[in-house]
Amino acid sequence: MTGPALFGILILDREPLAFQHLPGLVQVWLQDAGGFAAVGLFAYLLTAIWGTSDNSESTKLRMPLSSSMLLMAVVSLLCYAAFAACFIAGIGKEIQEQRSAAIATEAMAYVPPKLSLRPQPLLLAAGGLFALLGLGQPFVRDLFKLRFRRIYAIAKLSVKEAIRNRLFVVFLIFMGIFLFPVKWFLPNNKPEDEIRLTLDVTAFASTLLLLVPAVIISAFRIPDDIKQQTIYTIVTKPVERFEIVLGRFLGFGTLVSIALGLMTLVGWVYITFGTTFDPKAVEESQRARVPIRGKIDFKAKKEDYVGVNVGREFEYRKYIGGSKSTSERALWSFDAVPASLADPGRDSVPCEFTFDIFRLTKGEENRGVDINIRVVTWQCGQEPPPADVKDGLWRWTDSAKQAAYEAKRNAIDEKLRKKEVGGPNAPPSLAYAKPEVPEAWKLADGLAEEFGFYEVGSVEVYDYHPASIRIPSGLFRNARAGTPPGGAPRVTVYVKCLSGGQMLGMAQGDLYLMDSERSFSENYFKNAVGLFCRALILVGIAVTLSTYLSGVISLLATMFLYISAYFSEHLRDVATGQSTGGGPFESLTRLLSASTPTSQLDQTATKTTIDIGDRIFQWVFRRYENVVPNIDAFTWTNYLKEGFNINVEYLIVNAIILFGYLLPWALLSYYLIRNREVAA
Amino acid sequence: MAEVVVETRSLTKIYRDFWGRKKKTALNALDLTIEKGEIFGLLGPNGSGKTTTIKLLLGLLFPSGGDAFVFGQPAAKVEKNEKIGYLPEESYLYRFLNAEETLDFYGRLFNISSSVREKRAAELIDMVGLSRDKKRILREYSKGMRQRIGLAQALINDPDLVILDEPTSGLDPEGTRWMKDLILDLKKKGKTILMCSHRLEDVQDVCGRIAILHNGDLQELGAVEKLVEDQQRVQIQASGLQLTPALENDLRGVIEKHGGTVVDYGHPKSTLEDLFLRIIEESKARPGRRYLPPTDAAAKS
Repeated sequence: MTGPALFGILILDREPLAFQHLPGLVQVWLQDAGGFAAVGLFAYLLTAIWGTSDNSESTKLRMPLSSSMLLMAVVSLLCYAAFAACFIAGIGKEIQEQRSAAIATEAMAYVPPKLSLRPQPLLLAAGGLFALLGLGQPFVRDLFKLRFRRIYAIAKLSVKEAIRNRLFVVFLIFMGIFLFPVKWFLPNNKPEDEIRLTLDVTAFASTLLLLVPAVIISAFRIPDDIKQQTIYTIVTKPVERFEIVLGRFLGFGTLVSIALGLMTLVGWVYITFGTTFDPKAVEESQRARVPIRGKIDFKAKKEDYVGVNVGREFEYRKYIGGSKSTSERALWSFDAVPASLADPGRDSVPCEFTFDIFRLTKGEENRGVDINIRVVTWQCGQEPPPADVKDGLWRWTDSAKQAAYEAKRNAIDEKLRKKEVGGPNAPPSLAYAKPEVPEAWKLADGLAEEFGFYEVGSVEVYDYHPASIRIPSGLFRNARAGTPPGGAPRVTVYVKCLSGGQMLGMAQGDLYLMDSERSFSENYFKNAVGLFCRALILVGIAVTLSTYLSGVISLLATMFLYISAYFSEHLRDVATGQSTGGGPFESLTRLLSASTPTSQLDQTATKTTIDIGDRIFQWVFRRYENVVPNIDAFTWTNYLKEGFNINVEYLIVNAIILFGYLLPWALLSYYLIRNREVAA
Repeated sequence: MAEVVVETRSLTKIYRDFWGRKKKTALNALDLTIEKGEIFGLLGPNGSGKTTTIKLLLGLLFPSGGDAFVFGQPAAKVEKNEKIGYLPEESYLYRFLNAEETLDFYGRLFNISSSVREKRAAELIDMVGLSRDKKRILREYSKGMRQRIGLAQALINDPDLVILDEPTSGLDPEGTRWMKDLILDLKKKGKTILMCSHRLEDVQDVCGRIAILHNGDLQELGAVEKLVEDQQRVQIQASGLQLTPALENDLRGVIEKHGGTVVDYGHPKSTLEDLFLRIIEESKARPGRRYLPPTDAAAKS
């Protein structure tokens, strides 16, 4: 049975980063930030030891050198040397390769890094850790000299400056666009999309309104202070130079908070209390579903089956073939089942999905594709049919249990047919049982609880059109009982395509179980956290760069870095050598020789030279990719507009990532401003 | 021996281009000490290294060689700034703040309690004569007013060492006199003052010792009185006399008798500054006073 069509489609290009990803993220952070720190540390030590022409007390104070810094540098160097040895000897494996493999099996555009205990990644992380400890030592020591009183004074100055210079007035005038209904400007849209569209437009406008002024004031303030010499009267007071950076960052952060708070409040009032929205739009979008997501996999009789790639270049979906006798299945495994799903007071748990249909034949006019959904618990193991069997039906691993189930179900169906059970509105069989007819649904629920099995024979789905089934909550009570052996998932959902000549495309985010609903308003404000984090990233980069570069250059460099983040997928492809047509040198050769991107180039000396050039470019590009902020991780507008709850866990991880990203920038700004002559 | 407040040891500053090539030696091996309680002047034409010296002492620039110490601490040490007040050549302050906010902001950068900060800010605003304008933002101030509030911010921490870069720049003669009086007043309170100026009369009026710099090199160092004294000439001043030919002859006779030569004689002249200040004072005392051109008869007589 399908539910009402008013559901959200959340296209997940990436799994949201959660607590479980933190170990992997920390490891990659140590590798990336630590790599840069190592370069910085060695450059610093070389300058401190040999680069300074005098040995004055002032120079020693400005560029302190301690034995522990030297020790950390040596240990770090040893780690990198060991890594180089492993790399040459081929011991261990690079993290990048793991990512590529994961993309192939998990059908996701981006898979968060996982903690790897292989020698190479561990040595890289260790080298980075010691480099960070070495470089961070003067920084940490000076942190104790910082005084909030001074940081606050500089932050307050920044806020006053923006207000007195009428920047805020301009901002408020532009904020007026929030007061106009989006449909005035974009009238030709479906009524149910109205809020979705409004949220899209307000998110875009908020991003522009917030980020552009934020980056401008952040990039220009310190260079202007130096240019106008106002910094003279600050650095000649007992102010640690890093306090100026922190004060400016805090001030601009406060401004961003005020501006974002205002925009969010106005937007929320407009969307929540605006009476002009279509009721369908309100019903569809003003929600905050709490989904439970599983891991996708593809299986069939053939052991090495991993789904089918239909050749859509920009699609990361995998497809299963359609036929009544196919053994191809897409599986979603749910390792954990929250108690709320198994609550005895709850009759059913919705399972929502939306799939892509790739038609090999035209199919039936005005008809979608039929699919079969089987939901089983760990107590009801399933296995594909043997290779020599023609039918594609998956069997229970315990055939006696399967027989018992079928016997019991047939008996209930028989009683239903005779109206002996199921009340006056009893359906003709369990296949038609609905929670709206509680007496009959209880029978389905009891059966699911006893055997851990529930199947919907046929559901019609359309291309990218959301649909749902309802699963008896008894099945989840079965799933929660006992401990699954060998880390088996508690619940697995099997999807089969029944329509011949059609293929069903699926990705991890395309199917989920719905736990509960949260408040839309709460979700609306949570969405602002992502934008806030992005704004802080911009402010952090701009303030750091402005400690050394001029305002215009800082602005351009910050914008370049930030805009690069929107092309992170392409950057990753180029950096890992996965882009079609090769790197820049190979592409140029193809361009000059008019060969297609997919054709093989002859292995000549020229090709070898080109490959070396491209590999060097890839290495440089990988370093650049490490500096580009992970903007996607902070974007929650899709969750909001499609009516999905933004988990608090994700926001906490956002804060951790933000801190991790800004920390190396803070370290950089500390050294830059400390060693900068602020007077000409 | 008096306490040394400022000391430079072969302090050198060389400006280099992006590639590290030498552009200019702004200061060359400067050795000097400034003792507690003195007013020390750095003198020299534009580009002689006065401001560079001050910037090196304050840590705004880093030395290329040698070292600088203030209160016995290296110039790069931030803590020394607790006892320093600095007035830049032009008062580079935040022009969107008013006088009160300016002093409150700079006061917060020191370890001063809010009550003391408020009290001191009010006293300083009063001292620099900006009580009536304390709510106006600095953008609306004249250059002289900005210099006054600049001085107030330099004194917000009641510093032991006051560094003044061209303190009378942009001030009218009245303001100049006020500034010089204030500097002498600070000395009376036991403060050490280091100032640089190319207005020689200002330096002469207030400084005890001076250093003369030219092209980054120290040319002269010593007490002003000693340096300006001309051992080759004798000056005699007398009152109750009119300069008659007889007196001129007698004087010439006496001087020639002792082997000297008369170089000049006449009525002593006041400085233009003294004249200007006297006229302004009179104008204030007698409102409506104005200059009248001499009549023909008076001019003839």
